[in-house]
Amino acid sequence: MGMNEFRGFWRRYHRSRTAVMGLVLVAFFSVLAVIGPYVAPTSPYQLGTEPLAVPSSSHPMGTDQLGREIYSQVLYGARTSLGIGFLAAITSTVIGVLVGAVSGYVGGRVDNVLMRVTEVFMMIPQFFLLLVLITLFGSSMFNLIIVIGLLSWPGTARLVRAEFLTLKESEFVEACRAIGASRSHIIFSEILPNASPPIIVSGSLHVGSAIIMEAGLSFLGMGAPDIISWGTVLNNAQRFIMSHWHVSFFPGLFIFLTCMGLNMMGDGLNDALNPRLKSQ
Amino acid sequence: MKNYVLRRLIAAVPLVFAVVIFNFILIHAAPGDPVLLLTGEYTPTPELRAAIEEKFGLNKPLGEQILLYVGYILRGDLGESIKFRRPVLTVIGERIGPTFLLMGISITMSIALGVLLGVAAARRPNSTIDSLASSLSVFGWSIPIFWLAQLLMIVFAVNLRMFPTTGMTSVKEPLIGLAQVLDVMWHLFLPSLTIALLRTAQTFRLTRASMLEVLGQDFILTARSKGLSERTTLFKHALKNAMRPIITMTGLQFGTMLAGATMVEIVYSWPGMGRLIYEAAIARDYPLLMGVYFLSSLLVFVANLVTDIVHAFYDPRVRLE
Repeated sequence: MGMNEFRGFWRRYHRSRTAVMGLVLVAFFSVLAVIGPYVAPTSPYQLGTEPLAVPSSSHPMGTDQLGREIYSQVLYGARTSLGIGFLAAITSTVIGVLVGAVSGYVGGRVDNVLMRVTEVFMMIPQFFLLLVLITLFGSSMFNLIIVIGLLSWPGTARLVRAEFLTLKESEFVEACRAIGASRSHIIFSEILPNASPPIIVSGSLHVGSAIIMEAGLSFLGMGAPDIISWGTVLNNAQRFIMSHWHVSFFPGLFIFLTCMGLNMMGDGLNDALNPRLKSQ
Repeated sequence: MKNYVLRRLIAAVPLVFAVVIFNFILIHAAPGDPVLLLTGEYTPTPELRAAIEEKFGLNKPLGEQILLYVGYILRGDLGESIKFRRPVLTVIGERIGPTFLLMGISITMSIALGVLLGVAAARRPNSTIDSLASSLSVFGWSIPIFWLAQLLMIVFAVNLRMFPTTGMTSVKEPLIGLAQVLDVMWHLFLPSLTIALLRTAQTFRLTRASMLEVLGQDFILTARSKGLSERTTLFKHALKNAMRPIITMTGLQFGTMLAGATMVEIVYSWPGMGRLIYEAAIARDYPLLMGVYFLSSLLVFVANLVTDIVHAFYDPRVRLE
């Protein structure tokens, strides 16, 4: 994207107030994920003398049953949750792009087989399979990223396939073929850049859904055992929900605001990257 | 119509078969001893090991093993639950009713409300009701369902004491007749509200988008210029054409809804199938875990089949495709 194109994109993007708000939220939580552990007042594991304290000036978000600061847990958790979200979204986007590109460009029998596989993956109860895979293969941060990524690609694949089906008939691709460009050059260097706007949009939406999936698994106690994420804090909180609302309120709020930011940003990107759709 | 249903049923067979094969691959690809996964015994006695190897043909070629496995599944033999010491299918049978009740009510509520709001918003884009519903739907779209369940519980069950926090019935006095129905509905209210709120947000977004597209078409202009009432134009002409993505989504999202129901069942201790898969995972009850997973995949297929048939019933064009 050149400077002028970027200016045009930004002009369209910042027209929408929700899109800008989404960007601010995403930027805020991304910064938090990077600096969180450095600004946290205590270690999230450090036991305190006041168990289950309500939020106050000395404990901004209260403490849990062992007197550990919820505030510190949430700050440390930001890195895990966003990290898993981004890496899982990248994994699923890469798989989706590969499947969709091959399917759309090669066509024929290959396309047929790949699309049937995609359909089966779309219909599988994703979260249950996630639960089964994590139970069978064990839970670690790496496994969570891979498994969430492996289960979330079908939507991207269908999207990329549709883009490729249209673009492969266009004249610039015809021209590339005429001068003898290789297939992989056409797919990755010619068509893919032109198909990138919807891929970026769906990628940003996937970050949010991956964060929710990880949080859901951790909430069930199936998350990686050696890390702190927003979901693991919520899992612990479920036991005290009757008496101490603050233990579950803050980690949930952070998941919610991050995902809302990502969704609003995704919507905004969609409108700004597809000026044609917007004018309709 | 009959033809269409038959065609869909035949097309579903290979898909179901794919799910069975996938289950088989999972058991065999998992690290560790397949005997452990099939029986849950960490130290199986030689007799048990021999019996399982015989039953599933573990020493025979892979092709034969698959056939044996498919045979057991066709006969409804999903193995025995380790935790409950009873056949998996029986255990699931006891838990499937509450989940259906919970999901049935939430889906009905959310479709009714979401479609009504969507139609109202699409009729007057950028009106008060549109912007209000649209911004609320952003909330519903991003909120983690287990957190929403916890919040509703904190506000309405713990603080206002309007609803119970756990279970499906009041344990103290066994009720009968109408009293029992009312008691279950009282327990059902918050769990189903949680799912319904989330689904309403999504149904609303979809209905609004779909209606906006349909309302811009010529036949709507024709209907209006014929002097049809606004209600007839909106509901008979526009909505009927805009329902397609809504019906399709209900089928496609059935698996996601089951997952959402799982979370809600856990927060509210609702004795359903979602809670069961959680209990199975925590207890490492592999036969039960695989059984619930397999049956829920089947349910998703059936849900898709049903939505397709409903759709064909509703829209003759689909039947002829």
